[in-house]
Amino acid sequence: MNRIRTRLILAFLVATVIPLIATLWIMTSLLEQSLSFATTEQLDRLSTSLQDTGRHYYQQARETLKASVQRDSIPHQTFTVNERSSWPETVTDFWQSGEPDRFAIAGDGGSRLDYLVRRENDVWVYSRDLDSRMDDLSNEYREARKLVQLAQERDLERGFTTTLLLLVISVWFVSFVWMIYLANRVSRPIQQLTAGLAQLAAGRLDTRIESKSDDEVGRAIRAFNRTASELEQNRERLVYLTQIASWQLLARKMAHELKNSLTPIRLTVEEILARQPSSDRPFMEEAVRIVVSEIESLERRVRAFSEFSSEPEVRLTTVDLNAVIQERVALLRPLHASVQYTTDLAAGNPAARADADRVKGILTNVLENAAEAAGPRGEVVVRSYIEEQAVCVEVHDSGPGLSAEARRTLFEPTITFKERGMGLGLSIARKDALLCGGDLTVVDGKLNGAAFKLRLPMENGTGGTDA
Amino acid sequence: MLTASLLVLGQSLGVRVDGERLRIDITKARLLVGEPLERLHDGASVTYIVQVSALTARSGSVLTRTTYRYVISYDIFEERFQVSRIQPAPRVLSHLSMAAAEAAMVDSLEIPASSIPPDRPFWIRWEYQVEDPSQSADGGMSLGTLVDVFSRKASKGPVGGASESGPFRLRELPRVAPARGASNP
Repeated sequence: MNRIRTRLILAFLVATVIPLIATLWIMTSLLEQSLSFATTEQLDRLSTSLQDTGRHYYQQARETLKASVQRDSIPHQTFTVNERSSWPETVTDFWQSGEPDRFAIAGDGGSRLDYLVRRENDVWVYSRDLDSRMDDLSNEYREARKLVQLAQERDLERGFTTTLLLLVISVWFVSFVWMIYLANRVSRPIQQLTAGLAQLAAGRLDTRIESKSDDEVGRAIRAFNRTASELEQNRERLVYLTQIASWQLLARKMAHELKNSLTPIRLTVEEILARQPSSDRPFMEEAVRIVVSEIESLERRVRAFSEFSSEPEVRLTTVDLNAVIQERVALLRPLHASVQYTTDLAAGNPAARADADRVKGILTNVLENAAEAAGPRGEVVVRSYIEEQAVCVEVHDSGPGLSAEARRTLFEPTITFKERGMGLGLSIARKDALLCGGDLTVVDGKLNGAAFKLRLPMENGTGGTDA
Repeated sequence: MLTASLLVLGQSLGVRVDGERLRIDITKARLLVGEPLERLHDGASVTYIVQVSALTARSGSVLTRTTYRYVISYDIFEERFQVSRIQPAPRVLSHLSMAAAEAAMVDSLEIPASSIPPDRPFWIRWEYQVEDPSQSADGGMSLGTLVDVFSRKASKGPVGGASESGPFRLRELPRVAPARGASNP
């Protein structure tokens, strides 16, 4: 169960629902208050009163005009039938209606009152200006009545409240869905981290978690991956050192036993030769030479085993790695004159905290192997650089490279009877690197051949830039 | 449901043949009543749709139909009505009393006689309906539209009425006398 997600969603619900309900209650209350101040009733009364007043005024204006006409105290405009085609619409309409007389509002905005009177074949039109613009008044009355009617036909309180509720709940629901999405997004990496930690605690040191984010959780996941990686490497190093210790014990015992046996064999063989008659001497001399040669070969291996099993004290000092590289390359260059050496060294001469003799031994071994693998006209590249508080040296060769099987067993000690080497060099080199607090590993070669990386702790107070 | 149907039941309906057309004469029709009349008195315009149909029988299928559309307005100071016919042939009559305005909406109603069989009986149905201005919502979604939708009270239904008369036979109907010339201009 994803508890973090559930808690986030619950937190959102608690954080929003209660304020939302309170806000809605306040808003609907205010809305109710606001609508109670609505002036619909006043507008209804006012508009009715306005109409009555306007009508009364209009009637008075009509009577006044009619009285003026009866007193013949007002001029008129005559529209004769002969000119009927040019009559205004109001006059034509009046003529067609058959009415004896008619009042009509005219002028700009209804600011004039016309009195149309039928006189035989003419229409006489008397006019007087009005103090009010009757058409404007009529329009205002119409708009006011429209508002009143709208208010009467609508339950505005219900409309506003329902709209408010609908919109607020819609917005809240969208936020809620968004919150679920966010909660999933936030909790998923934490859940992965928790699961990863559980797997790591169960001993699965190869557990890694994918993360693309750069936030706190992303950094925590990267720290987890780094820690898991270091734990895995340390376990592998520990296993390696334990194996090496076992092999050293075995080598020491074997060397001791062989040494004990080889000395009497050599003495006995020499004694046999001394006691031989002169007639058989040439053959015996040759036989003894062969036996002694083999004994010497075995003694060399016994010495190698002795050296492998010996564990001199580790003396950590400040080692100028660039200087050691240059020295080793200068030493090996005459021995492999046809090999091209290239160095690419870190700026600032970074210093490592290591056993100088062991570092020299490691580099000699790795450089020697690289030169042999590269062969005549081959190439060896040595580069040093700083990486995460460590000084690193990489040695690349242009040789045939390493098979997958060779990569897997490269650092295991073996006994070979080839002319050069005993098969212990790389295992001793890696053991020495580990004893110095670093490591020797195989990396991808840049010259299509093999490549080794020596990583040593950087001396405190020194630094430089990554090459 | 047409809420004002009872109001038109008291009218009388006459049919005459005028050439290729049937002239429908309706008298005593009360159209300006109730809510539409209130709206007119409030200064608003009201649209009436009047339909005349010839039916094969009472509530039968339609043989022919003509639709008239009127916009009625009211002068609040003169207290007179204006009837503007929009469809089919535009015409404006103003300064009318209520009875004259009602008569203006139902006189000169015509339907083509060509689609009516001369010897078969037929019925005349006339009906009217008042357009509800609250239903003419402007399209689109806005806060105002939402408030309007949620604040509407239950509709009383469209205002209107209908009446049917018959049976008539085309050949038995009186003919309109040809005009002898113009009288009053």
